[in-house]
Amino acid sequence: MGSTDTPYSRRRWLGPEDLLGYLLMIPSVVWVLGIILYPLVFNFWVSFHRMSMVEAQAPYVGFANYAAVLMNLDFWSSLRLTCVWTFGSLVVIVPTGLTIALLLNRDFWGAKVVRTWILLPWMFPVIVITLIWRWILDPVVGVLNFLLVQTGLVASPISFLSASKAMTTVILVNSWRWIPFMTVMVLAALQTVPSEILEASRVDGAGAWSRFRWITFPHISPVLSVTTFMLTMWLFNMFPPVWLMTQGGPGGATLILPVKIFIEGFQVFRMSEAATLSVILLLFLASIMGLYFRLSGERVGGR
Amino acid sequence: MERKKRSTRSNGITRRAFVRGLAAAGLGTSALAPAGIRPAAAQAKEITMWHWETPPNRVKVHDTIITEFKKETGITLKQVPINFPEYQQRMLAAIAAKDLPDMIQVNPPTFMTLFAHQAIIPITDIFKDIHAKVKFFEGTYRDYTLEKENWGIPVFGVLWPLLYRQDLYQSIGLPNGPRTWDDLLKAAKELTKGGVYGMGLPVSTNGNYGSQNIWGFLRTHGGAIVDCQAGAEKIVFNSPRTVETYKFLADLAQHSPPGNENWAWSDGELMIKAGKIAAAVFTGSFLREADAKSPELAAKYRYAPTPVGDKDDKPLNSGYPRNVTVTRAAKEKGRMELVKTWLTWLTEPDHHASYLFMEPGLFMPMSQASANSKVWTEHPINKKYAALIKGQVDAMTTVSTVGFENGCHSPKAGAYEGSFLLAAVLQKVVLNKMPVQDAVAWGQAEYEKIQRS
Amino acid sequence: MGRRHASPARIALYLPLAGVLFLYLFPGYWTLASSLKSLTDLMGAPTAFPLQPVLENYQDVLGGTPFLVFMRNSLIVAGSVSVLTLVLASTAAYSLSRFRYPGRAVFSQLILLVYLFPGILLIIPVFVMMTRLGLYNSLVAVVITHVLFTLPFSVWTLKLFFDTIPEDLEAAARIDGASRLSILRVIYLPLSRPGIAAAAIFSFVVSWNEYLFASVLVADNELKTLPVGIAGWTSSYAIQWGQITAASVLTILPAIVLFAFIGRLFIRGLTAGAMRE
Repeated sequence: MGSTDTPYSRRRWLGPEDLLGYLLMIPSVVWVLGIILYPLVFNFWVSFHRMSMVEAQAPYVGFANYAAVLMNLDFWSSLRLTCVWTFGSLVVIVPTGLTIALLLNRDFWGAKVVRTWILLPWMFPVIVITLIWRWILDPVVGVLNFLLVQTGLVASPISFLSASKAMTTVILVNSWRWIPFMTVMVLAALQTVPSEILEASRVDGAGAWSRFRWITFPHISPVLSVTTFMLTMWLFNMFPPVWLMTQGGPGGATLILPVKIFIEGFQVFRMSEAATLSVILLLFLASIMGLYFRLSGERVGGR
Repeated sequence: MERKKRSTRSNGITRRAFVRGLAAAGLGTSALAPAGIRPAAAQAKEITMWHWETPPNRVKVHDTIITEFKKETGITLKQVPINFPEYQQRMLAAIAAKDLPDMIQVNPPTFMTLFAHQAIIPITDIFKDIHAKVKFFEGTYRDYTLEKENWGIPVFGVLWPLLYRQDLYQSIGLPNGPRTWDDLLKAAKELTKGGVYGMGLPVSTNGNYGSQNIWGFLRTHGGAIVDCQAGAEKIVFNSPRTVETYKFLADLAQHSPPGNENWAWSDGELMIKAGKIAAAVFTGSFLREADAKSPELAAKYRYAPTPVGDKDDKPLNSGYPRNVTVTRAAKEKGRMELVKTWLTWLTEPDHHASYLFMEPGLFMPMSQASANSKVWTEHPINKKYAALIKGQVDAMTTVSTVGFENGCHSPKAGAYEGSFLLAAVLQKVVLNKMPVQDAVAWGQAEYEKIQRS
Repeated sequence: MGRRHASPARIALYLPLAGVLFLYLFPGYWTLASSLKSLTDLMGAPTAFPLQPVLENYQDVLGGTPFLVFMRNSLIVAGSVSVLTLVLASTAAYSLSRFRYPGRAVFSQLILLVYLFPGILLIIPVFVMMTRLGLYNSLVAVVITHVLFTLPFSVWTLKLFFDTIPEDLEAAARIDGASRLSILRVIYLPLSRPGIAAAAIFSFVVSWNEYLFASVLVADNELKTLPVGIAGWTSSYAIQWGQITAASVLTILPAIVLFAFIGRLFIRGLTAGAMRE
């Protein structure tokens, strides 16, 4: 017994255990690669050709597309905006989700109701969320400005989706949507914290912060880490919220890469440009992924 | 805790089967969906038509018309309402998958995309037959006439003349609305008071609304994006006329409500329905609901032709004559006769008028015959707001579409329009405080990039 | 549930918290209130409560639109996606957590490829693929696509939860002669209920809300899911606020039910019990 004891480096014949391991894993791998491999490769191919229409001749152009994209200031501006969008959102989502989860983990009157209510933002379809927020934030007919002006907090209505404020606004609206997700994940992770150890330390006189730092946090950190990492990947590629609120405007203030890719591909029909941008983004994210695995040791074999 | 002894083999298989069974159940539930695993093969007498009129009331009108059509001819027309933002993607995807419907409703730029992909066929004989009967307005099929063939049958028009509040304009001595840019600016300044703004001009790239608004002013003053009169298509965006137009618009934008840098169509419509602006370039889509919920406000609106910058200008406006195009799939599958029957039936004046009432006040008739039909003229909205309807029908004769000016039928029309560059240029002037000449020059360069791509 | 004394520190903590909570929950309340307002109410100055609560928006939505059809489709799709994801993810997570075979790490990272790629560029290829398979215009295509997005995250999450289960439990069961699959079913799944609940909720909600593929892969109006159907109500020009907000309220009801049902699974500390065994 004990394939778990075998050092990874020692090669051995594949036993029936390994076969079962493969069998259990293969369906998922096949499902994912089966759908995504062809588009990935096709996209890669398009980035090396000049293709403006779905059915046209596409001459080979080598690295010309990449050169054009990388030398265009618009790309770097878009990349910068995407980083602002991603890390700005993470800064709001992760701590807030964590805090709310910690609070919800206690038993208090109405906890069950609050737990469900807190999760509502995540359950609305994006289109609904963006419509409603745009309505609430509207300077002329929106309720937020109405309240701000009526109570005298501001002199005149604030345009929350102006060029200077749009990025902050979309980050906050999207974060509002995703905080429940983080809360759910942390709450689940909190259930794995052994309560006797917590009790014991409380009896020993450890304060709330110490308990959190030395007992709770280590137990939830794998889930917290992986979830944050996945959220980072998703944010870099997230199209609907920004598109539905501003379509990348005003004046390109929220023109993050996924939106830019969509416009290039489906609005101005520059397929090569869209493909090239997405390959660059993919390589960028792959390196972030590599970095994450190296730093966290979370790579499956590394635990 | 003692676990009962279990034999490994037999239980292993049982568990695996259990897991597989669960997976099958999951797939099975989704197969319960009406279309099942394989979509039903098209029946013998069935044709499909794509369109983007997805609001429930419009889908219902389609259903009613389809039922009547089936009663009279026995042919089943299947409507496929597709949300407008996904329309282009669906078209491209269907072309790539070689799985086109029989008919696709389009506006001129989308038409050019289909044409460029060779997805549609000319239908000159069908057009000539119908045209002989109903006499379409020239503006409804001009954009769809290419290589001496007709490529679409007009179904309705959506027009964007200048909408204004007659009561407010009367109070400053302009009872017939603004005729010149000076009128419009003066009114915008003087009417911005009491919670109302003088002009609802978007400076927005959030959709096509911002660019559409600019187009009418630009064309009226003689500006354009393309010119084909010398043979090859040239980008002529950078011109003194264009610069003057943008200078005027930048001034005009000062009297618009805050938030207009991010307006989509729905925001403009909201302003109109809520009575917050004295003038706007907008279509009659607000009318049905405004009439139902605040008819006194609705009654105060009128239409005027696009104001002119100087006396040489001829008022032109944005507008979209929608046509039904026929794809090569219809021809390959031998359904041309059915398609012809449907198109002939639909454009028959009374049927056509009923179709237009998908959204009373918004969709305008394509022929004098339809405009004269009793069904059209007797509709309560059309009777009550005759002036607003007439304003839009008149605008049909002065319509201009991006990429179709100066003798062009640009294959890049869809891309020029989808770039929202018209509004982007205005944003550079108004939001980034760029000098107008520089912004327009930038626009020229961007259009040229699109043309080259 | 002990009595808590209101100390100044506690108030200082809970008051701003309540403020944040209010801001947080306000849009939800606003949606509900708006759904009960008549159109004139909605057009006028914003009020905290409907001046005259009306149910006409709900009547419009339920009676005048295919809302219930959309709801049914969404339930079928999200439910199937949830089940399928859990089945596939639990076996894969077990494989990654407790087996050692060459290529394990590679597999675990390969499935993350999905997240490195903007979904919008998958639209045409997936559409072509589904058409070739004869699955275009069916909910099956939507389910298959949704599982693609929910699977990698669920695999990783469940793997993390499986990792926390002490290996001696499995060792003990193996000594007793249990097969690995029965160990998965009897030991790992029950002890990872919070993880399973989280993965189930994640898959359900992601599928419930997904818009792009649900829109592109389906042609018939009767096969549209809720997000697609509701988006269709906002035509190019107009938005009917009363109906949109009423539909939104109705849309989240099944998710609330799901949460209430599964939420219980979050609250128990199950590993504690297992360790005593």
